[in-house]
Amino acid sequence: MCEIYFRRSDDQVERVSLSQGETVLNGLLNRGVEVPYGCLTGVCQSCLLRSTDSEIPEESQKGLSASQKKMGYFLSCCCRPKQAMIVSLSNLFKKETSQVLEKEILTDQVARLRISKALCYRSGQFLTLWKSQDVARTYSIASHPSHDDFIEFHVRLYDNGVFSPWIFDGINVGDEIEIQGPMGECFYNANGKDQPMLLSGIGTGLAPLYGIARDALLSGHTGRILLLIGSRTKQGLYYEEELKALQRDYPQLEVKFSVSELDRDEAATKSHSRDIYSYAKVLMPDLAGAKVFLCGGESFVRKMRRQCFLNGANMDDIASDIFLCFPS
Amino acid sequence: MSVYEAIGGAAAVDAAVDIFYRKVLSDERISEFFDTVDMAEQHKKQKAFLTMVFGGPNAYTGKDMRSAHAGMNLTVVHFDAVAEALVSTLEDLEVPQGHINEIVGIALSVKDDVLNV
Repeated sequence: MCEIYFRRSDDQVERVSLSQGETVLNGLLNRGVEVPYGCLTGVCQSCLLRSTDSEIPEESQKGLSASQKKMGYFLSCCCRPKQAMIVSLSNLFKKETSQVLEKEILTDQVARLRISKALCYRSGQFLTLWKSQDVARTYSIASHPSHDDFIEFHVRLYDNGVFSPWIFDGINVGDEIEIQGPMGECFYNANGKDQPMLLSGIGTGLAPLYGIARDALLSGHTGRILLLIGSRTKQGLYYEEELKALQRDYPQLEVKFSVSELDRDEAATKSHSRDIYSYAKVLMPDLAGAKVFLCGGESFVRKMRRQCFLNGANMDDIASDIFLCFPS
Repeated sequence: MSVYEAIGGAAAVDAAVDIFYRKVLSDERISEFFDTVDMAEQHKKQKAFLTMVFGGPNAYTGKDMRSAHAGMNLTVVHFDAVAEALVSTLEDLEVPQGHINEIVGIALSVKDDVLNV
């Protein structure tokens, strides 16, 4: 058992005892201390707390930036301390209020949400969107900060989810939505404009990749950019027109699709490749000196990252975003 | 001057780590030990290992090497595979033979601890 001293203000401190193995977040919530939280798996950073004078368990700072670590920030949902800690709320990311500008159902699985630009970001980073005080999810940004007057997300529908059905059916143009961020290191860095780039993702992994591709092209990237998007079925693909248009404007961009479950006619015409991994190898066999961006589920990112590394990409040149699917 | 300084210090480790990790991942004798969910974490470990065998500043002791590899049932085959990957990495980077010998010497000095014998 260990003690957490939650500092509400300079002269107001609350003491909470954690039971064996309990996280700081759980302990605080169970005793009625209100701490914002989202994913509970150490990704969204909603539950970030700060401790400047206690020992912080290493696993609760995984994925934070060097400066965040140095300033004593930690993820309370992953923090199981061995000794007493003095903690306080972080005000690193203030919640901002944004407004829904546009909502379009692109396919029966994917909605496009555009909200007002309430904060600064880089294409490919992600934000936390709040449905209510205690329900939040993170989404990657598909828009461009200086060329678009909105922030764009692509939301995949999970029928039994607590968040995505609300985006599809609950929220309307004109509604306010609270957002927080940005986070993530998956964005274009303009100091290698002639480097080849491989951008690969599954499903709505296209959102950050579309953002990164546009950011690169608008920044004057001259090297070849291969955007390879996978989906289980052909119906899972979207944005084909937008991508075609982008290809017309920028010949250095090449867009390819890979569908794993083709019906017989499609397989016969070979209009799409089945296996995204072997397709990536055929399209860009040598990745020495290339920049790689991967966005999708954990098994995809893991397998593709390994393959890209073995095909010559440097570890530091492979950026990835793992999309989480939440149990409802 | 230590061999670590002679071959370029931390920059030499940075140059070697991707080449070395690629080699061990491609070697069927040992790839399973290195093929983990968290590649970034594994990459960090390879960096620490290379810093150690290059004779650089590191916090490893023989006891650490022993406990880190305990229960993995490693054999000479595994040890040799890693040593081969190490030597071939250094050759790729055109490190002079004298330095390679010195580095292999450091690797051999922890062999018993790694194999837990």
